[in-house]
Amino acid sequence: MTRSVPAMPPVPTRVRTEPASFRDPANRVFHVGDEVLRGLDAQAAEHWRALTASAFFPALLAAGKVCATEDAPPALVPAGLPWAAVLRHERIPFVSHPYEWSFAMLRDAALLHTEILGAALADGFTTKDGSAYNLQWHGVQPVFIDVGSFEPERDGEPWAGYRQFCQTALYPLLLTAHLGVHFQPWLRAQVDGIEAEQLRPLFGGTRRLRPGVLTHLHLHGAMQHRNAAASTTDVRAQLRAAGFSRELLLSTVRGIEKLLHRLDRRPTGSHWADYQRTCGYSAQDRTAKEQFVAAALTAGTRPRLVLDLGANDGRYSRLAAAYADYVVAVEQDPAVVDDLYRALRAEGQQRVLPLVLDLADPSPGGGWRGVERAGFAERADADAVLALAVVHHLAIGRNVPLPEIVDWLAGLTARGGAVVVEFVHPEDPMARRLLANKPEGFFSDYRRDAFEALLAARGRITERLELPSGTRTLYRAVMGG
Amino acid sequence: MPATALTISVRWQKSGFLGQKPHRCTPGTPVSTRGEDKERSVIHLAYLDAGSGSLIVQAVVGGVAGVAVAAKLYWRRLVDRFRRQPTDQR
Repeated sequence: MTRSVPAMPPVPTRVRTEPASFRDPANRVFHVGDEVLRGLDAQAAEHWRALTASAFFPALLAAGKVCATEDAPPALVPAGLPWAAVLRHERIPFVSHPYEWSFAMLRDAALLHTEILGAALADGFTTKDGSAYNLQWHGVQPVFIDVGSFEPERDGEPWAGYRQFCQTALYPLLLTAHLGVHFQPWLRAQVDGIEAEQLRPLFGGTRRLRPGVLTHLHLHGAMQHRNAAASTTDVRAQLRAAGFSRELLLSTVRGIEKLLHRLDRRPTGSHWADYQRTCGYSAQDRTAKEQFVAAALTAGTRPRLVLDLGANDGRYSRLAAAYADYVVAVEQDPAVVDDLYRALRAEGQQRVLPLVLDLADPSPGGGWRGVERAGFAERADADAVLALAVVHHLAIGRNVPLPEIVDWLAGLTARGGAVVVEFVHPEDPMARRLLANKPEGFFSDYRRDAFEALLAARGRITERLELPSGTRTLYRAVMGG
Repeated sequence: MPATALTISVRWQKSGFLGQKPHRCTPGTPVSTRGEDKERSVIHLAYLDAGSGSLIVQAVVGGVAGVAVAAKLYWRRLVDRFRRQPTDQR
């Protein structure tokens, strides 16, 4: 798979620094209009030149494993910037964070990181860091985005990114693979990942013997504790004098790769895992619904980004991918997303990105000042939003008022974009099942006419279809116009 | 530079093999003299604090050869402590 940076648009002038790019002062990502640029200081510029002359880096670029990058055309770079060189990156269709990925996604992203590190080491380079946040997605293909992380390797030094890699990738995977605990809430809570000392108490007794636990977790944690006062400069010198070599580091990286391959546990599913089979659509309902969604997505200009909220097994995400450039399939159950990810990879589907996200508790802003990792609402600006069989779960299951839900849908949609939403009538068996758990009369405003009025107040309803079963209605509304 | 030429204050602490405390009292003071000073001059610190323990453990997880490197590192630390003990008592 080969990609190139798309053709250059007219030059905008406003520079907006990327809030997630500040930790390494040698380079920084910034935006000029829709362009993604990276400024390099003198030494980083030198490293970039060496990188382009290397054997491994162009090969990774050609394989689509590193995001497409080139020297920025001078016309694109605003005057007065302090950088020695400026690079231009391809734009990632939808930025996501590791706590929104499923187990297999994080594992595949980690494997790509080690593959890239191995290729770099074999060619005399290394990566300065080892964060899972260095990876993003093109559909279900992971891609390494931190081009500024590459630097010439100094023989005899261990990998500076190992601790970061453990905290943001390996430990979360150990948690899920060995204990069956979903890692996403842990990663979401701590931008620097899970520390060894937090995880060690959970891996006592015979759990110490599970793959990777004794060395990467317990020994690593103990050594961190015992060497906390030692400077890394001294330790690097001691290791080099003791004979640490590039071959040894490569062997360590291969060992991590081998471990990652062994960590292959499918997370246990909840009731959502079987939802499509149990949710009770008739064949006629399903056909009518698919036809409505297809027509709704082709009624206007081709959507660039479609959000499928409550995607479940991805049936409508796949459908949308036929009519849109990119689809983000959002589902709250990590096991369902894991299955969807594996299925999409097996199908070779390139335009659907599955993400783990609870719609009633979406990713907030995280990290420094709450903006280093953008919240879901800040990233979502879709040309079309699919909210199929999801409103009743929010309104009845999570007690979210209907006006709030419609406002939220409007907020996720770009001006002039379409919302395709399914309203499940209170008489529908699924709605009745949800209402049975709540006090009688509690949701008196949960009515089709009330929902339709709210939708009409925030957009223009262009299509409406009651499904053959008579208990569900589909709408297409153009928001903000 | 011979080891004895350095005047380093050393505090003896009993600890396990892998868990030996670094044998210096003043942060930033050179630790060993077995050719490491020359090598230290070419070491560049990364923007990321790699963590001393995280650097050492990479040798151990690298297999048999790595364990030998780690053992050598700790053996040298141990020997250096005994060598500097008389200096400390002066």
